[in-house]
Amino acid sequence: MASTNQKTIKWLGTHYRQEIYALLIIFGIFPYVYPLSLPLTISRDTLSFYNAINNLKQGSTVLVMYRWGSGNWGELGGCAIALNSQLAQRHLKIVFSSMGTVGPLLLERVIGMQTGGKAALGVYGVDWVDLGFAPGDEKMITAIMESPDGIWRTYGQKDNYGNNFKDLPIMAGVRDHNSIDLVVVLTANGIISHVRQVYIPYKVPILCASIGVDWPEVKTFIDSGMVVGGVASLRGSAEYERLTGFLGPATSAIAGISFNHVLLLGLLIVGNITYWYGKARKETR
Amino acid sequence: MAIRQFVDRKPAELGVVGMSAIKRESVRLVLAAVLILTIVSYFVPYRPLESVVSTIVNASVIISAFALPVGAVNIIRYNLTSITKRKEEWYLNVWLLFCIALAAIPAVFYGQRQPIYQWIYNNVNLPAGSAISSTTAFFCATAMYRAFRVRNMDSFLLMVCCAITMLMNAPIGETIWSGFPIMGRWLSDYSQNTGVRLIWIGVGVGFVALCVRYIMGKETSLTGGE
Repeated sequence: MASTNQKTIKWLGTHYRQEIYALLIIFGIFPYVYPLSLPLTISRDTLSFYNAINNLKQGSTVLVMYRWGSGNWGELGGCAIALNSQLAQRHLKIVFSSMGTVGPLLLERVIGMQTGGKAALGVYGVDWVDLGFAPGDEKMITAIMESPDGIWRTYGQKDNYGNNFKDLPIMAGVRDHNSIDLVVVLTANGIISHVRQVYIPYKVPILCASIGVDWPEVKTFIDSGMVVGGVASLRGSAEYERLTGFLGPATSAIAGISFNHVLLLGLLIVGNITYWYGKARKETR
Repeated sequence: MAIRQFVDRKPAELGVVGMSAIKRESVRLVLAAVLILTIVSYFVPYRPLESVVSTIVNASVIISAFALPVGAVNIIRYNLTSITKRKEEWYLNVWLLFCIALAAIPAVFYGQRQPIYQWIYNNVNLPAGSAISSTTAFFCATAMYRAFRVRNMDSFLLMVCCAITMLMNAPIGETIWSGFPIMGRWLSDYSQNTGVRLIWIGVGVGFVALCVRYIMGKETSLTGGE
């Protein structure tokens, strides 16, 4: 019996990669096959994010900036869909802009997946507009706050759908930072440039949905009051979906995260058992 | 400082070597001027100055756009060289150029709303991007198994913090014990924020120092110096 245990522990210490990969896949798929509802306490930051939008007056203008890419769909996709749905439900005027080349395509996908599609956002050019992509990163944020369509006018006087700005009534009311009531940033590249160019000079409130890796940076600005609220990665997206009532990809993925986290903790324990067992055996020799 | 260096230069120095020096100094002068103007406009609300700075910012955004074609030309040049010299696995370079052409031609000529381009993005780029991101989960899992060993008190504390944060993020954590989210948030709100703030303060001070070096003409890395 003791010999079998020793063999098992030795095997665990040497053969692990393929077995761990297989376990990870099984633990990830399991909640999709057998869905289970786990309690999800809404964090203070997600609640502030939700409330900041809910407290806006009907007809207020929200600038939504996409600073994420296709690799972040798992973490921010659910949040983006729920955000569009909440903005549409509140009858707010939405100006979309992208800081990455794939931003307009991501937006198309998000709109396609939200309840009611494009029609839910209202009339294009009156209730919402997609300015498209402009390069320049932080300089672009500065430029857009000075004149939201200035950069696009410089490029070719047209929005992402090829419409001339003078034919879009929404843009007549969006001239500079004074006409923007809220900036929502979906980011996979930090929030400090928005804090520098949006909050510090103009005091326009910022909301931020970020990937997990960037969350420590975002959190510091939330605690200092420079960012009003935040959605943290997949967990935050699932909380936000639950708050808005638009349950989507994040809600279905969060159970998988739970199972995989349990697996990782199990691996942590097994890894340490094999390590200490090996060490004890060496010492007895 | 940069102006002074330029004015003090002797006429004899302005030979062939002098021309490159002029180029170098003029870059430094422009850089210093732009920095001073931008900083002053931030603190002095003077409309004409703000307008000048706004034009500079818009110009810089437009210049940034040129990075895209430069990148495209570079990648095409590099791959064409590999193909013509028949370097190892050159057929992969051919495949790369083919993929670039397949995605770029519809987008460049018909815009991002072109159906072929959108199909490529939604059915190739997006799943591939998500797949690449998700592979990190596999590496993290094996790394946790191999690397998170309690060798001393420091590693023990690190492992405990890691476990609590994981149980805070996963809903199953609060199912096991309602204290995990509270402990996790304490770690996030206090210990983590303190560390990140210290980093940002350091970055801020460093950034100010770099700006001062640019204005004084001491920073030469942009003009080919060390």
